[in-house]
Amino acid sequence: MFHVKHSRRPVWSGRRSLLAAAVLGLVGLAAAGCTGQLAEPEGWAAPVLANGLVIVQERPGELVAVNIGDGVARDDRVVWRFPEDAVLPAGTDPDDIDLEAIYATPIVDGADVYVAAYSGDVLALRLDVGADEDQVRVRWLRRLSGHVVGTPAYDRAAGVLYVPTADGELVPVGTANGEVGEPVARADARLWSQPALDGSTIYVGGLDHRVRAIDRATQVERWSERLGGAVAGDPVLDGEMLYVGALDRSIYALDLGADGAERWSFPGDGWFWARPLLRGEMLYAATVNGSVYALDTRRGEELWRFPGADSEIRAQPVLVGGVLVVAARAGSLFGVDPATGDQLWREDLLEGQLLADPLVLESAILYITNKGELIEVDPLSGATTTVFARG
Amino acid sequence: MLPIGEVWRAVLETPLINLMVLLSVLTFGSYGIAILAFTVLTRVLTFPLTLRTLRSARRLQEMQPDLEAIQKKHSDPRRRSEEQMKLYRRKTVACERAGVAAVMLGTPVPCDWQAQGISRDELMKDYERHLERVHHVQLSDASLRVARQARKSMVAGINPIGCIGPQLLQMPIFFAMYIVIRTTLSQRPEDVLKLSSRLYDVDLLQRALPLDTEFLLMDLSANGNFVLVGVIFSSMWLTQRISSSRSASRAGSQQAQMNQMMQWMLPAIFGWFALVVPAGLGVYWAASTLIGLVLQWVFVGPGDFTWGSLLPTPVRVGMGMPAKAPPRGDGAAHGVGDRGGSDGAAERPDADEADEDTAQTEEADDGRRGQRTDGRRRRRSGTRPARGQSRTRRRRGDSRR
Repeated sequence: MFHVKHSRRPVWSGRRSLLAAAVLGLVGLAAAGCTGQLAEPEGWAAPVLANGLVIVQERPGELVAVNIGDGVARDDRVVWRFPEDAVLPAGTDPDDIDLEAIYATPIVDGADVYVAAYSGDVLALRLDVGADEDQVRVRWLRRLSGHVVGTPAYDRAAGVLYVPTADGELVPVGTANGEVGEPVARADARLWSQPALDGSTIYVGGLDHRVRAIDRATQVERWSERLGGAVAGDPVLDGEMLYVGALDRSIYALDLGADGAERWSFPGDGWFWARPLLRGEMLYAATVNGSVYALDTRRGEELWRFPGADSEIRAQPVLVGGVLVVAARAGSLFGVDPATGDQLWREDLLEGQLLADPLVLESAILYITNKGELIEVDPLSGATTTVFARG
Repeated sequence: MLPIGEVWRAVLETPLINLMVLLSVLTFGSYGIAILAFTVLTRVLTFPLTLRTLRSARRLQEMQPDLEAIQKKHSDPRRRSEEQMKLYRRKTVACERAGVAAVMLGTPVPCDWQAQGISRDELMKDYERHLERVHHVQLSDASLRVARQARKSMVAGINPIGCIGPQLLQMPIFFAMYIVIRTTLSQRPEDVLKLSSRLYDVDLLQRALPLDTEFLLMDLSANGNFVLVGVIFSSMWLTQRISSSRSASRAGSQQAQMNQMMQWMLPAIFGWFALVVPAGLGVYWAASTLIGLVLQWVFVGPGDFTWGSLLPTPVRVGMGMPAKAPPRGDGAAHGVGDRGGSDGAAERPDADEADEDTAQTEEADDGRRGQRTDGRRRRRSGTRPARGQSRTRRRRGDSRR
């Protein structure tokens, strides 16, 4: 027999242990790096015009009021910023305001602007602050439980905002003092699209593939129609017809007089997410595959297809000056003949993504990029001018 | 030339995204079940490789006594490595440890070199051909330190590349799954919009969104919870415990220390991962680890692990079990004498015999009988074996009889 001498070294001693520890550390660092790369929501709120000012999302969750009037130097165009220049209700801590991002288009009613943010915050801004035009007053601020992506429907007569939430609820919020009521509708999935209102009914589409009709007075569901795919985009109401784009690559015409029965559906080449544009008996609908379709609203037949965009179309096409203007995510703008679908012009932005709906002025169109750059587009030529760029 | 990111997306990410969406559709919209189905699928596809590895592990377990004997016998690392190399050749196991990648995964994986009966030079040539063909590495190029290190490792009886097939396959899938789960379950509207371009032009896939993120009271898109952490930690700990029991060296040796560290560190790290990554990835990892644990248990066995060893000593005594659990790496599962356990004394002579036998074999092989190669005086006991025949073989032959 011979004796074997054992050396008792600490667990961490030895080159192998050090190597293993180093590897484990690197793995930990890599994992931490990966988790740190989670993207934050950016929002795609459309610009709105209020009291002569254009209000846009400058950064995620931050608004800026821009004076685009003639004779105003570009550097002097900022009138106020939110929340930086906001006058808050008594007892509200400025540090508590974090809107995260704004996807919903702000709703303007005179000097009042209602904003619903991704954080679930809904707030009422008052623009006329007497002599302090460089400030904006927050009348009230409420926080809902779910994220808000869809633009609320506004019942001006009743003074109620119907706010769709990612919790699948349609929550009424009084505009007078921000009173939050019981949800008028509950879906099995997120509500990302703007509800449509008519005299007595609210129509809302959800990611649970359903379109619901809710009686406004009794808050009872009148009917519910299941579509082939989720509804993420805003529907368009036209009398007895509701046009709804869905993520099954189809757009549907629902007959409201027949409890939402499908009148026709049209299959496209990609998801229909952008809000369709209705002009007479023509429906212009864009897909995330970069195509624009002109459809006959009576039978749902394709009149022409414009296949030119090379990235997703989320912004609503608009018709200004006889030109159909289409914006694609990657920053491409197209002028399209609304009668034939022929491309009239194309303009590519140097940077920034175009996901927000545009603001149509008398003879120009304003787009906001995800970089906070406000672009004015001439619909006839496609010429672009930067009206405002964040500092 | 395609950027690496594009290749990664086209070859791995996008197909996986579509596969997960398809599985989700086929499992009635449950993304959680889709993850489990995917885990089983990958385990089935890699099963032949896993099986080969596990069988190798079993063979290594069987030859553990001889390895222990060599380690005890030779203090000179070079000499020890040469002896291990000879042993590997005889036992058709070319490597004991799978290198850094295996260490990362917490499974010291022995592997099959498929070199039974060939000489060391042939083995080296075979390995060089493997490096050139698969990794485009020329061993003759002095500038390639990696290749030199590989060759050095090979001489030392360690093949850092050939043994980590299952792990190499799993790591890209693991990282791709992280991206896939984030992409497919993201609540951010921008991500959902971009997802449209990642789905194939198939109606079934295109209309499947949004995917259900709820599974077993968890939101798969949110960070994991402590239940998931517990499952991952315990299953990884048990896997480590079993795998190290079959390969651990002497108690207190570097290898045993490393195994002990890995047994706690890796479960802790992956448990922490489960807290900071989407729960869906945690479900995938937990399921994959559990399946691996079952495979290891079935094809290799639990080694020296017993469920009773998990109990505190007073509880074991109360239940009439031995007061002390068998110490790690004591050879109880290998037939090697104990050095620290209560049962070690009875088996100690046998261990010394094995040590001596190895020395005898070594001398016979080298033709330098009677010379001391490690500078230490060799103690002897018992009867010398016949010339040209190791007592180890004879003893094993006896035990078979």
